[in-house]
Amino acid sequence: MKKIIPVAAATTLAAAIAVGTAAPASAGIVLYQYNDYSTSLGDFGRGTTFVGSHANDKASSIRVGAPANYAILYQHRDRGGDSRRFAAGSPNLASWNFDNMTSSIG
Amino acid sequence: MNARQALGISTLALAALAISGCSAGDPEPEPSGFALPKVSITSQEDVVAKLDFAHGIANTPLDRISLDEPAFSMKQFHAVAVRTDECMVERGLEPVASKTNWSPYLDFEDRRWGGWSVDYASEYGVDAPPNAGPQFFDTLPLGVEYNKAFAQCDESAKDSLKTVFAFTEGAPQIDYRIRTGSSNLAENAPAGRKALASWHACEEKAGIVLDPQDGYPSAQYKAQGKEAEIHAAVVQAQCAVDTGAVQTLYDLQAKYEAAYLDQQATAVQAFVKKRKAVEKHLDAVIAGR
Repeated sequence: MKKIIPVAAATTLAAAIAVGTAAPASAGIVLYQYNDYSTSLGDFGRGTTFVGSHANDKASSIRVGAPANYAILYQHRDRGGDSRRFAAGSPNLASWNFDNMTSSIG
Repeated sequence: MNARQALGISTLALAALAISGCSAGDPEPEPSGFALPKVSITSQEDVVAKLDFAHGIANTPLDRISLDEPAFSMKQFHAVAVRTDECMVERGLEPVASKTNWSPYLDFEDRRWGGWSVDYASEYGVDAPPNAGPQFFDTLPLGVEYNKAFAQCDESAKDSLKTVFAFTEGAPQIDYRIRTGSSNLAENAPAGRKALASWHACEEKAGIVLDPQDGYPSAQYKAQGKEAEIHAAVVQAQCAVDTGAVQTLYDLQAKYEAAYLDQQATAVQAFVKKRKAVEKHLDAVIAGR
């Protein structure tokens, strides 16, 4: 289910890695489209009942930072389906069988 | 996640189980990858889930070792807060860990198959009630500079606890694999499928339009406003209870968890030993040692 990275996006990805991909200060729960915190899908604060069509089923990594203290990723909207909790995050959601699965965040 | 993806993953998991070709009498296999080997629940007839209908919380055999258990989670949050405070004090800023109640929190409603707390649905619709989950001290009123420093200190605190996070979040441990494996087997068992079908049929009989992708009430109810959202959520929860579907599904999950705890006894024992060591380390951090 891994996404194929287009050439242009791959160039951007390489640049992002070169300059570092740390989440900005005061970011809450940030989902990323690719592994290793690459290409942000948005800062979801402390959670949402639906991540939006732009991010639905697209997250491959996650970082949790203040002011959020944790994140629960859910398979379906409205905090339904399988779930996985993180206090720090994961650079590779595939290792949790949760790649391209997140629809809501608690 | 859509139904096709869910079916795909379930099918892969079931295929992996079938390939393993084990029976109840085989020696305990070494777990590898994510999916666990086939397991039988024929000797787990007495195992049931204890359901808290007011809060939508299911108590099942895995709870006693799960890393998601509120008391363990809270220790992890507390340790991060203590380390964050140390960093903040070094910068001459106010520590806040002592302003949070670190007692185990009331867990969120478990909506693995949909909402089933009529009380919550009646009041909050699909939103989480404000008293569920960990309650933290809100640092936002302390201003921009404070929160910039807080975010940096939070990150360095987590970095200082990376051995803890390597255990809890580095890769799926046996508890998570048992939990997800058991819930997948529960919903794919004949009795589980029948329970879900009766739950959904009850909702449709009450006039609720379900989303074919996930089987939940259509997202349009939420878009129509709180009254419509609450109506759909209440029907979903009431049908879960009235049809007995929620009890059937969690009972099945409980039986599979119990069976896996037996089958994976060696891996579980090793996991529990590591969990205790991590907990001891967290206690030491919290105590300032």
